[in-house]
Amino acid sequence: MEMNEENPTGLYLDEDGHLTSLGLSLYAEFLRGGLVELPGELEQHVGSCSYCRQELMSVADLLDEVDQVEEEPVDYQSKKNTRAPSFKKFLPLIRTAAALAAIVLISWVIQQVLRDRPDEPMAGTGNTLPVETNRQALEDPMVITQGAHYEEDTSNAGRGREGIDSKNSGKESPAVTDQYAMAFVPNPAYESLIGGKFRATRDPQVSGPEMSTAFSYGDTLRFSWSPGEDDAYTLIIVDNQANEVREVDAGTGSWLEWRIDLPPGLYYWKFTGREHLWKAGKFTVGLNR
Amino acid sequence: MDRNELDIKLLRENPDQLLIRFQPVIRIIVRKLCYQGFLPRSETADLVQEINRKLIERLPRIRDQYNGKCQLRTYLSVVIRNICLEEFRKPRLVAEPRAELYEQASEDLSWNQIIIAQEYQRLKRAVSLFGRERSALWTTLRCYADLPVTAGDLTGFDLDPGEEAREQLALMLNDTLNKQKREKLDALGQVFSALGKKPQNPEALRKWSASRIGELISLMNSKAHGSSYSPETLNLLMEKSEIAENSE
Repeated sequence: MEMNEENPTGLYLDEDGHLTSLGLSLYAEFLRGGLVELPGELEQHVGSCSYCRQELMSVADLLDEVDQVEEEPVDYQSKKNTRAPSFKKFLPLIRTAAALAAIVLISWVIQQVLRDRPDEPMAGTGNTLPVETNRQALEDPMVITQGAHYEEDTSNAGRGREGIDSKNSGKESPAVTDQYAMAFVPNPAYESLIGGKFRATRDPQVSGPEMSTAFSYGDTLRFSWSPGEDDAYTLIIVDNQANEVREVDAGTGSWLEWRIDLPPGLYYWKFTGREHLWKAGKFTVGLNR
Repeated sequence: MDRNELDIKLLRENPDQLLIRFQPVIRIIVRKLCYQGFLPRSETADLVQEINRKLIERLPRIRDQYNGKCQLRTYLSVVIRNICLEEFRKPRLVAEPRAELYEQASEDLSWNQIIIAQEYQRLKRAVSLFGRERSALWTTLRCYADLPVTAGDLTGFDLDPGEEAREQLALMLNDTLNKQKREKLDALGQVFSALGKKPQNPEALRKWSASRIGELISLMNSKAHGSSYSPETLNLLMEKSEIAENSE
């Protein structure tokens, strides 16, 4: 049945002939004085349907309660590009504190040069899950990974993609700015997601970093899971402003390691299948030790 | 940019931030439905979590289906309510509402007047849902509550015989104030017939009015657990509202 304004059935009435969510919303707004008129068919239907009358009364009462709260204020920002947004946001302050930032930066670079080389690639052993060499590395840490390409690493064996050892590229971590503390403010929507027991029949039993683990730039996040048939997984990292900062395609393997290349702050991770969110968690990235 | 415009822009460009914005709305809807006894309060945190998860999954579909004819806040509130009801339908033990859920009558007269005014608005809202029958239902309610009917109450019927005729018909109904129900039903039958309704004998009219008032009471009682209207308390509400309106 075609759904359009001239044919409210389908748009405002469902297959059972009752009001859809849109129909309920429209009529409820009319009842509360927010609209001047309704499509005639809607009024006619409600006049003869006690079920929809009950629903409408319930919705209208609920909206009376909802009127008593204000939404959380947010600074509207367009989610245009996915390059490390928090770094761009701090840019004006970095200019102001350029001299101090340069000293800290140079000190950090010297420190990095004198550090040990990072660990060699690890196979997926040490847990009960099958060993898979399914490593991902970011070619350019400051660019969102979408369809990243891989170099062959003949030292790895097994199914799945072959990864490369993600060497420390020597990129500097972002300078400390006055906005440092703001980057750690918890995000209420994601706080309510993490640690949840999501009801699902084919839970891949994702294992990730311990809740609120503190990492440093260059540390490695490890995830493992039991893959389901015909499902493919993605790891999504968002910052505390709910901006997506990384998307890592985990493919059809059963584990991945991802090297942290984020500025200091609080981050949330979401592990998703094709259609479901399976697990969420959080971690912090602090200043380098 | 007004609130609705901002909400719509966030829905299109930054739905995660829209979700953050609506956390207080989600919490109050969950709280209200828990208050009504659908769910034990100990599970509210789990439910908020599940709602956020489902909203994240459904945001693309919400974006496609929302047509801008009503406020986005209204539409999202309905969607959140529906998700809550999906959860409530899952088998679980539901705790009986505790005594403190029932609102205590306030000694403050001004507060009672506010409540009466609000409930009266709810009553008129509920009556309006009956479509073509709303005028007949309203007239019947006033008659049963021994409140005078005006010519204005007799508009909205299939037939409008003019103001003078409606005033005469109103007088006919007002002659039955404080009289037996049988006389009221006789008068109502004659008045409705004159206004284009299908002629009904008093017994049929009694059954019709009982059915509609029963449903009206059910609509009024859907608000909060502990709300307990009956035909008598409905009459009382109308009487008190009339007194309050006349005293203004």
